[in-house]
Amino acid sequence: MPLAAGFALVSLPLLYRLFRGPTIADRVLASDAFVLMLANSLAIFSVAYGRSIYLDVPVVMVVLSCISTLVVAKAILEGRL
Amino acid sequence: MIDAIAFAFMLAGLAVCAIGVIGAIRMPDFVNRMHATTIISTLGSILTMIGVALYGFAEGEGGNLAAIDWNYPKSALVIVVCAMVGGAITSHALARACFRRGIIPKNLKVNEMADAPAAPRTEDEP
Repeated sequence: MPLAAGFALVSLPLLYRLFRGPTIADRVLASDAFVLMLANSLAIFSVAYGRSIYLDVPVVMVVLSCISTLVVAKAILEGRL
Repeated sequence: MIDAIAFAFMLAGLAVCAIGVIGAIRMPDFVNRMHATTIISTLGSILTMIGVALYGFAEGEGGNLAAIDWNYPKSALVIVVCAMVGGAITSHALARACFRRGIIPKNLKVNEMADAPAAPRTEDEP
């Protein structure tokens, strides 16, 4: 449980980069890294509670997190979605 | 025993993720920050998920093999594979899009995409 709280605390500075990134790519990178750290934190939460069924949540988060970045990259490249 | 090893792996994953976050805050350019945040999606996830998978084996410690919870190793494997593959794909797509749209770092020694043809920009008619 302290490890999950540590992950949450360590991922807080990414919000700063998300808030004032100079370009849109910095914001996208910070968002992607934030989702990954949140998935790690949730996996450690499931270990701390001793229930392996909670691991489905970080699995779905990690599998679906790459789609948002790809959509934003396409929007940067083409100017529209 | 296996509990302690799993905890050590998770702690190492937390340390590596902290290094990646520090890089994401302190690095000067967009490409440098991308380099730093890739650490989180590869080594940080790998170390943390090794710890999670070892915790599943810790329940069958002492010869009680029927008590091993296989959900932990399976989910950890899926998370690691998807994080690595998705991280590579998204980094490539984002860097390519930014270079073709002019979001280029200042202190670049070699820019091999300088004379690439401009991307076709498809604007919607107003």
